[in-house]
Amino acid sequence: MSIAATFLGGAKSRLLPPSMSFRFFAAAAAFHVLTWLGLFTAAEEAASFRGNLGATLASVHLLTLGVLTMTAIGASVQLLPVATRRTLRAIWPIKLIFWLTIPGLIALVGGMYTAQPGILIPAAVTTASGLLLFCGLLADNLRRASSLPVIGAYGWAALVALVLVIAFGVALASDEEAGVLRDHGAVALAHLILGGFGFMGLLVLGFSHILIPMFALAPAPAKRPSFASFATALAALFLGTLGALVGSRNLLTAAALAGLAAAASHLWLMHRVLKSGMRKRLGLSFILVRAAWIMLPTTLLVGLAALYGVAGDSGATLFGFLLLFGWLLTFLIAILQRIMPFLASMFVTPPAGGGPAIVSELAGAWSLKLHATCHAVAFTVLVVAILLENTPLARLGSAIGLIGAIAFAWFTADVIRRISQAG
Amino acid sequence: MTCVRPGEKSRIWRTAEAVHLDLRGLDPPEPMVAILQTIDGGEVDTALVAHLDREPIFLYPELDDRGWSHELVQSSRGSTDGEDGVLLRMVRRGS
Repeated sequence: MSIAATFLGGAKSRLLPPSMSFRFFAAAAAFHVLTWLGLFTAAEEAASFRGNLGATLASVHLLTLGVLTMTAIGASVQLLPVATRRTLRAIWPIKLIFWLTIPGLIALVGGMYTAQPGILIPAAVTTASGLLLFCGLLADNLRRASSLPVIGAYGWAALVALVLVIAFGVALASDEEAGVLRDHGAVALAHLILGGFGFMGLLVLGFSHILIPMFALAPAPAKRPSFASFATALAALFLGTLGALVGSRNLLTAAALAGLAAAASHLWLMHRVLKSGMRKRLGLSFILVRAAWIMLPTTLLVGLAALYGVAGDSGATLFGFLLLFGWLLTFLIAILQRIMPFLASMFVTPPAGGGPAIVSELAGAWSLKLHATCHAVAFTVLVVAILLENTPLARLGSAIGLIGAIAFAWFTADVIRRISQAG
Repeated sequence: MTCVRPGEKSRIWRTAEAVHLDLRGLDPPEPMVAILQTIDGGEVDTALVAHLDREPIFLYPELDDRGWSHELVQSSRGSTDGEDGVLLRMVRRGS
């Protein structure tokens, strides 16, 4: 067989221009800094936060919408077209998503920070428009992902969860002004469960089936146990959402137990992947990944303890903190610091003399080491601060987290600078 | 054309110009793992041509780290499920 006979030559990669995904990654890095800054300024209420309007709620949304969602959008728009083998028809929807969600989020956070309900509704609607457009883009890609059934299943479920999160979010914003909800707290808890465990959690679990084997150079987990794990996670999510809405402790207990079973099966699958991987030394990012994996069942156990009143007065606050900062933020920042150099390497010419490629060079960056150290210390100090409801400790933990976030933003800027220079 | 070592799920054969690996039908990241195993195993003395369903974007940095360059080219035959596949030609830098 002649190579010339089979090659058409000059094949075009399905990768989007780097600015498409990196605008979301840059935004995530900036919002990461603002998240910790917000917690620092709101330390007196952060340690005993119960979900009311104010600086802490603003910081929570800087994290969930600003860091976690921007990272998910940036990764999805770049990786899904490659995985599903369908080039996006146009890139303007990606730009529109960015220009709807960023101003919307800034206004939303501003409304929460200053406790002005009048700003919340238009801001929530603008942000929701951007996210719904993302849903459309995601759905268009997922409906053609038949060759990746596990990823597709997680993706569809995450998408449905996101639509519900958006609906509940807009309802909660409206309730601040018009009082339309019968039980604001119940809807807020459902919003947290659907956003944390549903939209972000399912995306994290789903993408793990492809990204973790990719980084460890291992075969993907077997389909049957993967689907069993997915079904258990979905059952947990359904029970948790329903339990929150109807205020049933029994349903929430069942959800936590099902969630623990789903977490155990997921972690077992991931353990098998790492064990069979060609690459054993996975570097700093996988220390964070492993820490995040510990946080997943820990979050559910603390949630269960809080449900039965044995986690102290701050049990609910601790549950939310472990979910958002312990599991999701730790995991996504770990993956982001791995993905960004990989994607950058597609656009940067490797050194002609065979020097270290960009991925190896960036893996040992001082900024990542500083970030990981600060993240771990800040997390630990804030857990203690929440348990003791101690403001000075909360402020100290937030300050350390802020230093780490600045280091991570520096790393992100360095990656973008290298791509810009190559362009 | 000589078949040198058919794998469990992939086909491998050698031509005058290159060693070919047919990895279509495999779920990611198995194609990437198979390519790296072939390269690390020292079985390729000329060029390696991988027949793939989808572009293995995470493979590229691994190739860079190993001193290999790559060229993405479209397959004229398409992949097993009727979608356009890709051919990836890889050579050791300086060879």
